[in-house]
Parts: sequence; C-alpha cells; structure tokens
Amino acid sequence: MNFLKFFPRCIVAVGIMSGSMFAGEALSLNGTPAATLVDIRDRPVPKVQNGFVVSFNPLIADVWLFDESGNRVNNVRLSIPNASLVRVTDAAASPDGRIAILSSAATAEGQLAPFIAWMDSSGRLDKVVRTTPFVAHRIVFAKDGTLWAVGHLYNDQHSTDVPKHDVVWQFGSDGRMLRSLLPSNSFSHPFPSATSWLTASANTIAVYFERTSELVEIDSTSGKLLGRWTVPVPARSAGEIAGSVGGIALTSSGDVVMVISSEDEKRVARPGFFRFDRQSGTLIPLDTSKVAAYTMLLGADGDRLVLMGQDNGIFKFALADMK
Amino acid sequence: MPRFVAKLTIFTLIACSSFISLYTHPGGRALRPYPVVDTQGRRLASLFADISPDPRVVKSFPTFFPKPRACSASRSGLQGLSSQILNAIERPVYAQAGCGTSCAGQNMTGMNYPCGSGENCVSGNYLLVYEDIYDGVWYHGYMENGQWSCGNGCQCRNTICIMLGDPP
Repeated sequence: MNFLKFFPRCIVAVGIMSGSMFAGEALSLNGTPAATLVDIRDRPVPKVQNGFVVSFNPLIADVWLFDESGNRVNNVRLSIPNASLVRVTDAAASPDGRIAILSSAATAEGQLAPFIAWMDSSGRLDKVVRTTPFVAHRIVFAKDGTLWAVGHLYNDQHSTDVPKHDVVWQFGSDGRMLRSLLPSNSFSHPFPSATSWLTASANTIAVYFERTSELVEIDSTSGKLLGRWTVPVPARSAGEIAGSVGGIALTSSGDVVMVISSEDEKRVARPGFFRFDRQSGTLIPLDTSKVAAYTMLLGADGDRLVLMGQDNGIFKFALADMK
Repeated sequence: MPRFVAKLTIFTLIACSSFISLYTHPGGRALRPYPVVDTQGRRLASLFADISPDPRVVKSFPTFFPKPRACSASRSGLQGLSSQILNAIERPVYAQAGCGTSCAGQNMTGMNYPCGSGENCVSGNYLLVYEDIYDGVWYHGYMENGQWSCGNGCQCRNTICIMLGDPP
C-alpha cells in the first residue's frame, strides 16, 4: 500500500534514511513533513490495518474506512435493535475490506452484551457474534482473514473472581471461535489483557501486555507461539506515567516499534519511539528529531511507520521510513 | 382483469414499501435481517437473549460496570454518577475539549476527544467524562472542573469534555 496517496491533499512525510540499518543505538526517522488537516477530533486515534486506515467513534458507534487512495470506502454506523446504548471499543479491517466492530450494547433494563459485529466489504451488517462471557479489548485481522482478539472473561457479578481462561482468541471468517491460547495464569496479573496492544503484519500477530511488560508473537495460520519476551518497560502502577505505551507497530520485516512514555521532573509524560530488539531483549531508542511533531503511532504500512501528530490543533499524518 | 392487475400492483407496491421501510435505517442505509450467534455459531434469539438485567447498568449512560472508583489519591474529584450527567448525556450538548495545555479553543461537533496516553484533558468549566481501567474492567465516571491526566496511573481512554447546557 502506498500511503503517499493517502488523503490526496496530504503530502505525507517520507523519511530518507542515511546510515546503515540500526547502526548504533539510534534510528533516525528523517524527512520534511508536510501535512494536511483531517478532522478526527471527535474520534480516538485511528490505526492502520491491512492497508486501510480505521477510525471509529465509540459514542456514535460509526466506523470510517479509508483505502490507499484516500477514499472513504466505508462509513458504517452500528445499530442494534432494542439497545439503548451501543459503545464501540475497537474496530478492525481485513485485507478485503471487511470490518469487525468490537462493541458492547446495553438495554434500558440493564441487559449488557459484548459482541463483535461483522460487516461485509460493502458495509452491510453480516452477522453479530455475542462473545459472552469473553469481553475483548482489542481486535485485529490477520492476512489470512481470521480475526484475533485479546480480552478476558467476566462474570455476572463483574467481580474479579473468574476462572482461568485464555486471553487470546482467534475467530474464523464465519465468526466462530477457532482457537484460544495464552492462559491467564501464565501471567503475573489476573487480567493481563486489560491494557494490551494488538497488531499484525501478514500472518504474524503481536500482542503487548502493559500490565506485565510482555510481548507475544503468534503465527496466525498455525496458532504457534513464535516467541514471548519481557520488554524492559517499567510495569505501570497507580500514579506512574513511566511505561505507558501509546502505540505499537509490527513492520513487514519484523521490527516491533513502540511509543513509550517516560516522565520528566515535572511528572509530564514524554513519548519516545523505540524498536524492540528481540535478541538482546532491549529497547533501542529511535531518533525522531526530524519528525518531532508526530508523537502518535498508528501502525505500519509494510516497512514504514504511519505516524500522526498535532500542530496548533491541526492533525497531521506522516509516513516514516526506517532504514 | 385490468382492474384486478391494478389492485394487485398497488397491493404489491404497498407491501414492498412497508417491507423496505421496516428494514431501513433512519440514516438511510438499508438494514437487513442478520444472524446473531454465539462464538460456537449457535443462533441466538437476540443479542440480549438469556441475559439477566444488571441494575448497575445505568440507562443511556456509557457505564457497563460498577460505579467508578478512584485509583489514586489525586483523583479526589471523582463522584458517583448523578442525574445531572445523565441528563447531559441524553440531550444534545455542546462540547469543547482539548488535550494538552488547554481545553478551550477547539470547538467540537462531537463529544469525544482522543486524548493520548500521557496527555491531559483539562475540563475547565466543563464536565469531564472519562473511562478508566482498573482490575481488568472499564469504569466510567466524571469530575467537574478538574483535570484528568491520561496515563497518570490508570489508563485513560475516550476522555471527553462536556459543557453542561444547551448549544450556543
């Protein structure tokens, strides 16, 4: 996908790298960004998945999908009969343009149901899969068209007393659960999925668990665990900013890039870009001085990072090379 | 015979238009019947079939879980849900919000501002509604004239600032 064509009036920043790959301790994200306004102020930070930019409004329960030409190819709004409230938690796009919307709905009487709505590529609601008692926090499509979710079980009392369960679930294109893996008791926290990040590149699924600072990679086609690493990010506790992850990307060459906040002397968060080196188990800081205005990581498009920033209230997108 | 055909045609048109209106979303997008299934592919009567009402789920307010609670001492502004916020949510509101140094100055047509991790949503004279995660589930709450620091302790998500009152 060529994000140079994304948002036609937007000239995204393309990094022209100098120096060798990962030479030294720093990478440079070079370029002279030029950006345009895309008004997404009423929406959470979008993400890039399978060649699409996915943006949703959790309150209005709509999802926007942009293709590589910058065209909004889908503008769907979820409507559930008998629901007084529908809240979108996440959304994902498949390579062929299908949309999965991770939601919860409640009736006026207080009935609550977590579900995943499946839309076809034309934006029509294809099916609704109720996931009770599993409530997912993040979803992503693998290249093979299966949907991956990270979440946890809950009980009717909404207490923390839930049985051991797998925190990663895979769904087939028909919405049925194909497999689950990563038992909750393999983590040091009872609800590791609560603050987790989920991304994919081709058929590799990457999950980062903030609660335990663990990165897990899974092969989507076989379900095989490719690796599990402890990332040297301080596990967060109440009152701490350090270790807060603001985004994750998995490039086509296998690089894991994360945005991690540190805390200055005034306890103000300072986001920094890092590449995780699996062999050494270390985080290598990336020099982002040339794209300092871009502090949000939307994902990866091939080997490039798709970034977003804000300058005087104007949101900008940028594409950055890593070489 | 022509009269019968005419009546049949009219009947068919009325029936079709009724069917179309039955499955047409108010926004114009045509709806169609869709299956509701569980994760094993079993058909459910509805999304809410066999789910018992939870009295803690507040009507028309995005709280799915028990009442909010503070996760750090700095969040002394937290209170329980009130009819005031319910009323604010249920009617159209005019919202201003911003992350970083200021809440004002950015007019919003929606109600949600994507505060990123580490950013602050300053409510000023506004009502700040937040989602926060604690013990594995999301909590929702609000605070008035305060500051909610996303990424300060618990995770902050979907933070919105709402000015109480009617649109100007």
